[in-house]
Amino acid sequence: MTSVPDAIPESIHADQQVDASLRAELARGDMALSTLTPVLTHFLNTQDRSLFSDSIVARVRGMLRSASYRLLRVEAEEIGANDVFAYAEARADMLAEELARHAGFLGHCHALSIEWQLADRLRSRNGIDPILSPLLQSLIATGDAQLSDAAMGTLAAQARFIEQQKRMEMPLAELPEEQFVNFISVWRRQREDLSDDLAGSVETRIRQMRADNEARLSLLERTAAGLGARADVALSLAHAGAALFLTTLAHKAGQDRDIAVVSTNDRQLVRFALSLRAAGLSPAETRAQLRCLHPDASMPAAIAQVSRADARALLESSPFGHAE
Amino acid sequence: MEEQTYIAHARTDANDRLVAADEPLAALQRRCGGEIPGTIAIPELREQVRKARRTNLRLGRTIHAYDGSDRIKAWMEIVPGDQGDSRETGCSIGIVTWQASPPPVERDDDAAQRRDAIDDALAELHARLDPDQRVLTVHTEAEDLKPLYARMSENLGKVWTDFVQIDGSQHAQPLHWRLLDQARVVIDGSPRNWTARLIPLGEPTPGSQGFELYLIANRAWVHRAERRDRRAEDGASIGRDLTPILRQPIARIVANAETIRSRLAGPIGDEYSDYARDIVNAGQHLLSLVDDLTDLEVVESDGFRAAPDAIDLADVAQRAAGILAVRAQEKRITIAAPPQGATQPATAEFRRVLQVLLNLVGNAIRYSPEGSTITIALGSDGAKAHVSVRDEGPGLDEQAQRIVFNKFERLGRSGGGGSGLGLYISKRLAHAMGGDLTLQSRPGEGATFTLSVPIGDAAG
Repeated sequence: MTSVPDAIPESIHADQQVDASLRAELARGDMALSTLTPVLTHFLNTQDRSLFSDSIVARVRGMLRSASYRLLRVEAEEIGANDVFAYAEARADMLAEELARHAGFLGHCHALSIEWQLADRLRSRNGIDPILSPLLQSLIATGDAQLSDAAMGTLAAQARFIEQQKRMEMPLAELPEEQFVNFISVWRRQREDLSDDLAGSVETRIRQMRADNEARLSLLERTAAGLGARADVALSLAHAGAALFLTTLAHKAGQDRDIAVVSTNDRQLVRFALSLRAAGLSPAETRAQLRCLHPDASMPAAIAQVSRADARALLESSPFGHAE
Repeated sequence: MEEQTYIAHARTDANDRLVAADEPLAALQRRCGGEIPGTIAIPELREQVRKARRTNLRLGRTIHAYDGSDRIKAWMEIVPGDQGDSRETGCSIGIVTWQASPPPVERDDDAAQRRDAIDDALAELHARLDPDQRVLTVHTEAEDLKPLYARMSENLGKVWTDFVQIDGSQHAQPLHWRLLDQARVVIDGSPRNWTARLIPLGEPTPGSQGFELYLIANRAWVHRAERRDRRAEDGASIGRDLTPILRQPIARIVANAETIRSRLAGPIGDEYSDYARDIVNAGQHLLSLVDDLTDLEVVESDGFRAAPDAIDLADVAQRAAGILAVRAQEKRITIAAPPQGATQPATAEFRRVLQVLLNLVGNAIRYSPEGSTITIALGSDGAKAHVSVRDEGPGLDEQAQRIVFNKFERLGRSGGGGSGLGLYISKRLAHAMGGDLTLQSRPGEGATFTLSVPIGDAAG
């Protein structure tokens, strides 16, 4: 939480435009000052830079811009701009900047880039295929037509995801509904001058695009749900791959998926271990998954002693501990 | 304060496009894939120009770049337009120093990984194949691949080679992946030529977990009408039209031969690896020939004129020595340039004199024995100022001296690079500046090339 006041008291100066712009600039500075300590503290206290590495920051920035650019292209087409590319190009940075101030949206992009980084690390270190895991392979070949269909879709979506992450892209069709709504509201706030009609038709067209392509996260959920009582098989990183593992973990531990993704970081060891316990893994199985992620870390002894219900209660007591 | 001397000048417009540039910047721009006029293709330079234009402040920066064979390090001064606001006028660029040095030798593994990463980034179609090369999933956003995408995604589980034509292959498909990797591919519905890359997955047997398939196009997707418009502006030209067409296949030959040489696609005998190295060298030679042809066209065109200025030959000589110092060091050759403080005023075009000296010193390095010395000396007589380059190489006999300045003359040399155009171009440049390029040599006693140009004011 920051301590920035919502607005500087109007009484100081209220009448001039110059003041307004100065005030906005000052507020930005305030924001930077107020985040100085937590950011610095984080870096001083952790050896691991993976949450804020240059690559992650660049990827998040790229995703914000990519999402903005894609929306603005639709806007340009609806307006009938001569050069839709130039139109979108000229406005994408501004929208991306605004989007970066939305904590929820930003958090989602950050989680996706962490997930990609994790998949890439598991590939190079443990030989775990980021696209086609053994579990997914067996599900595609399964006799259950619905499950096999979901698994096939997941495979294609996962291949797209890896590709998009390499290119730092964020297609609108891949956004979960909640983040899509956030995005649209940020855009509407910034482009107040657009008529409701126009904004409506832009949104309708994008919603159509979204309906035509089932998002990866929804396919992953469908696959995890299709496993039903056998969902435990997906709680192995090596067998299920990071994507399906994380969806299943979030679902079974009652966590937000984005939080589950970030909990794979080595500063979140306890959260990760508690989630595994809450999802129903035994202490030995929990230790095995932990070791797969952090070969050098040892599991805190207390983890073996908490029950599944305790683990869940502990997680829920954390402000980030449960799905919305 | 003394006015800064620039090796070369360039100008950008309000959209950070390079609208005019002297050599060697113009060549670098082209080798980085850009055009003149066109968007600046040298990443660090583009960033600095944008910064200078936005802030309206003069900037001096070291710019690093890679031109495909050498690493370039150059100090450039970027000056926002003096007529009012640079945000509307663009900048002028002055190049103060220019150093080319060979890139660090990369391990074969690293080179292969980097090549794969580049192909991955450039690919316009990605597919995942199973160990038998059957398509599991396919993804593309390229317009001209939509028909292929539709056929592939409706027939998942079929071998990928069923959907495309492999250039020059009559064999039953699919072949072993090593034979298909880098294959030229023709795709129904796409006017472009494609190259396939197969990246094997799985350890310890590559391909045991399937493959990544990338399709990489030979050119970006531009609407045909646009391409025609650009061509139609005026007649054909080697520099603008032929160079890009020639560069591309030659670059592919070099890249593929390099792959064979470094045994990336599997073990081969040493003699084959040596043949491949010959192909690489010959290809690189062809590339430099193409660049020389571009220059040739410029010096032979009707409108070609030098822009003489008051310059100091000592300064040019020192710069030429500096630029080639690294290459000389590799053969432990010493370049003895005129000492600091020496001066020889002349009336000539700075960058053209530099171009001639670079050619002369470059030749001298190429044909001199290891550990020898190359001497650059100054002089004058009445109306002319001279700068000469003397080497301790094998020298030239009388017959060779008569023909050495001829177009495409290489004196029977076959290896070692060189197009046989350098001296011809240099001589044309000397003439264009009202001077001459001459040679004194005796077999076994080295060679001395002398460039003479009109003398400058002694006051300088």
